[in-house]
Amino acid sequence: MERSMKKISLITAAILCLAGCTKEYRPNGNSIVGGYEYYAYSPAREYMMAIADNMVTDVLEELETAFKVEELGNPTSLRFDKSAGSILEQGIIWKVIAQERALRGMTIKNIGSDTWEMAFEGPYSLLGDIYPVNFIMKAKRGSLISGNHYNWGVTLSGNRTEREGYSCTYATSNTVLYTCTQDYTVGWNNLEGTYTLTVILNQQPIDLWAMVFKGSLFATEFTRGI
Amino acid sequence: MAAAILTAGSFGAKAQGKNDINLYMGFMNSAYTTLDNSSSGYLRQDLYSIYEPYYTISSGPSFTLDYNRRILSWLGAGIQANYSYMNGFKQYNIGNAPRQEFNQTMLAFLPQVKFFIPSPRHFRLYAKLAAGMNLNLGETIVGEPFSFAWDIVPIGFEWGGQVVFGIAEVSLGNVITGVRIGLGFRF
Repeated sequence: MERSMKKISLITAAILCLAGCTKEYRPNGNSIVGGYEYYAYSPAREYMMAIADNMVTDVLEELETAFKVEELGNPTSLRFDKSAGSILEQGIIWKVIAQERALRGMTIKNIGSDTWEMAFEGPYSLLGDIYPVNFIMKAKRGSLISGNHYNWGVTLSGNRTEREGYSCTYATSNTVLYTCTQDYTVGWNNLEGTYTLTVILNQQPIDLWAMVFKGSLFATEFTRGI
Repeated sequence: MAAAILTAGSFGAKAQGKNDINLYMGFMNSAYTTLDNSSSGYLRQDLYSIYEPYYTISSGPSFTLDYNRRILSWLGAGIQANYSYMNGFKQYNIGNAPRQEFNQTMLAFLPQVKFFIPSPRHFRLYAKLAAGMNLNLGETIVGEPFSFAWDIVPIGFEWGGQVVFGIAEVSLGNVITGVRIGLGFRF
C-alpha cells in the first residue's frame, strides 16, 4: 500500500507541475495557422514575383536549351520533338516531351523577326502548389550574353485556376526586358516592365495587382486594388 | 480526487471491477484544426491563403473525463467528455479588415470503444476509438458552433494498482493531438 501511495503521489505531482507549465501553448511555432504573418501586400508581391521569375525563366530555359539542341545537330532529342525541322526557321514548332520537365507539353514556335512563341496548358508548380496553368508567351531575342544565353523581351498572358473558386489572369502591360544570369535566375536589378494580375473568385474579379519593375529591386513598385 | 487517492489502498483487496472512470490532462490541443482555413501547420502561398483569414492562437491544456465499462475480456465501451479553451485573433494577409479577437471554449462529447491488449504483468495496454461532437462556446467564436469530433488512441497504458492507477496515452484527432496523462479509478 505504501508503494502504491508513493506512485499515486508522484503522478499527481507530475500532473500539477505540467499544468503550471502549459498555461500558454501555441501550436505551429509562431501561432499561425493557415496563412502568413506578413506585412500588407507581401504575399501578393511574392506571388507576382514568382510568376515573373520562376515561370518565365523556366520558359526561357527551355527555349535556350532548344537552341543548344539545335546547335548539337543530333537527329533526335529526348527533350524535344524536333521532327518538324530547325527551330531557327520561321514556322517550325518544337514540343517539350521529356517526362521530368515542368513544362512538358509546351510548344515552341518560331514566328519570325527573332521571336518565338511558347504555349502551355497543364499543371504547373508555383510556390509549392501545383495548379492548372494556361499561357502564351512571346520572347524576342536580344543581345547575346554568352553561348546560347541571351537577353530577352517577353510578353505574356495566361491564367491559373486554384482551389476554393480562386483563379487569376496575368499579363504583361508592355514588353518586359529580362537580363538573365547564367543560371537562369532573374536578376531583379535588370528587369524592366510591368505585370498585371486580376484575382478572380467564383468567376468575379475581386482584385487587380500591378507590378512595375524598373531595373532595380528597390525601385520595384507594387500596387493593388487599382 | 484527494479522498480517492487517500483511501485507494482500502480498495486494493477487492476483485477487479468492470467500470473505470479516468481524468486526464492533454497537451497539444488540436481543436483549432476545426477552424476554417486551418492548414495543420503547412503554410501555403496560393490565392486562397492570401485572401482568406488565418488565426493566431494560444491555448492551454485540455481536460478529459471518460467512463468505460468492460464488455468482453478485450473490449469495453464508454464515453468521454473533453474541455479545452483557446483565444487569439482572426486576421487577413491582405485587405483592410481589422483583426478580430476571439475567445472560445470547446466541449467535445464522444462515445468510444476501448480495446484491451494482452500486456505484461505490471501495466495494461489499450487502444481507443471515439467519435462524436464538438461544441464551440463563447461570446466571439470562429468556426461552426457544432462540428464533428474524433479521437484515436493508438496506444495507451495503465500502471499501478487494480483500483487506482496512472494513465498515459497518445492521442490523435481534432480534440487532442499529443499526449494525455491522468489518473484512473476502477470499480
